[in-house]
Formats: sequence, structure tokens, C-alpha cells
Amino acid sequence: MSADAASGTTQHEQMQSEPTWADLKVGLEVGPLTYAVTSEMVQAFCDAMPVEPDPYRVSAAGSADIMPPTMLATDYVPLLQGRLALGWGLMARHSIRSLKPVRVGDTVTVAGTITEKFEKKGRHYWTLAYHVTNAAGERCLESEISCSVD
Amino acid sequence: MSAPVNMTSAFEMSQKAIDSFGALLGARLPWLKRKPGGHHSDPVAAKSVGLRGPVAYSLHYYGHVSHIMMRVYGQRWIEGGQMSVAFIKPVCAGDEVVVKVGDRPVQRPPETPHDNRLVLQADVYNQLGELVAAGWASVPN
Repeated sequence: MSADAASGTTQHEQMQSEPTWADLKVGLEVGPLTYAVTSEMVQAFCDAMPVEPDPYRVSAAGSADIMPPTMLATDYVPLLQGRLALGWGLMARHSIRSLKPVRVGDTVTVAGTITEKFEKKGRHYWTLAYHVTNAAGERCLESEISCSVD
Repeated sequence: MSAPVNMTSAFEMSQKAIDSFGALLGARLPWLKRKPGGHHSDPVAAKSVGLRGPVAYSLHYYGHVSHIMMRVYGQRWIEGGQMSVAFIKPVCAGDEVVVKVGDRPVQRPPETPHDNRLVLQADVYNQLGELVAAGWASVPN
């Protein structure tokens, strides 16, 4: 399901004050969002899933633990804040391409572009392509998400 | 064709788990305005829009596909892994979720050519055996 930032009880209130699907323009660039990755983030993600953190722990000298790629993929929510009122809706499709590890201690920047808007079976959909780069400017993760917003 | 044990994940999508996952973004980005309630935690609000109950975040169960790929393929996954999933039905609080990778032949291959890649079917089922999400995951050969 989409609309992960939405609050159903206040949706009407949100919709009155925030941009709607009609306001969203294809080509709109969102972000950048910059933050530092911490070991607490990795642990919190593994606890919430829940999954064992072992695969993300790197034993090689000089390497730090890896951030699970799907945690980085949740950044579509803050990217769209203020750009679209995320009301009730359905996540239709999500794609991820992991290119390089994001490690604890890295500072990452997330940015994206609205690439598509369409209507299907009476629902309004948007598609956001977004990517994560590290401090060296290397692209680490690419994602694309399509959601309805009702 | 059945998925090896290490390519399967089964868990209960409890309300507590949904709440924990929902709290992740707020903990990571404190400035993000998030309001309590809504269809991820309020049964009444969820049912008012035709849902069985509070719904899980898609990435919460979809993330298990990535985790399985990380567990099995490690660096091949993190430095070249791809996945794409379509969502079919909602997962609600209390559902028993089973995630399987490579359990059956790829149903809808990637739209772009995946030469020299191992492509596996990725499926998510609920306790009724209904397919709630399906797609593929791939790693470089």
C-alpha cells in the first residue's frame, strides 16, 4: 500500500492544504534530501522487518556495515512531502536497482523526478524515479515507484 | 519447483511490526511530519475505505525479497541486484506472510533484456495462499 505518510483521520484536512495529484507535474524534480547513515538505522530496520542483520555486517577490515537497500527506498515519502498529499492509495509497482553499497558513516543524497501520471480504472497514479548517491557522487541505488492517490 | 529454505521467509505481519516499520522514517528524518492514525494503524479508518484492517507498508514485505537476495547472493546483490514487484492485494495486520524467491519459473520477465543475469521469480503470499505481490529479482551471473 502506498500513502505511507498519510493519516486517514486527517486526510481531508491534508488534501485541503497540500498539493493534489492534479497539481503534480511530470518532470517535477524532488529533493535533494541528505542524511548520514548510522548503525542505529541499520539495526532499527532489521528489527522492524524483522530480519537478521548478519548479511549487512561486513567483517573485512576497513569496511563498515551496509544499509539494506529497501530502507533507502522508503525515501519516496519525504521526497514527496509538500509536493503531493499522500492520501489513501495503492502501491502498484516498485523497482529497485542496487549499484553500490551504502555503508554506515556514508552521507547520502536522494533526489528524484516525477516521470509519469496516468489514470486507470478511475484511479489517479503517479510514478517517481529516484536515486541515492554517496558523498563521492557515485550512484548507489535507483528506484521507481508507481502509486495511486485517491 | 519449490524455493529452497534459505530463499523463503515467513512471518506474521502484526500491528506492532507495522508500527515499528512506520516509525523508521520518523526516527531517521525527525523533521518529517507524520501524523498518527490512518489506514496503517486505525482499524476503523482502514475499514472505512474497504480494507480488512490496517494495512502493512508495501516495502515491509517487499523488503524481504531484497533480504533473501542479500542473504543468498551478498555482494552480487548489493552491487548489481535488481528487482521489480507488482502489488496485487493488500497485506493487513494479523496476516501471515510468506515470501518466496525462485519458487516457480519467472512469470513476467523484465521488460529490458537481462542477458548474463540470473533472473528469479519473487512471490508474496498471505495465509489464504493468495498471491499479494509478484515480480522478479536478478543478479549478475
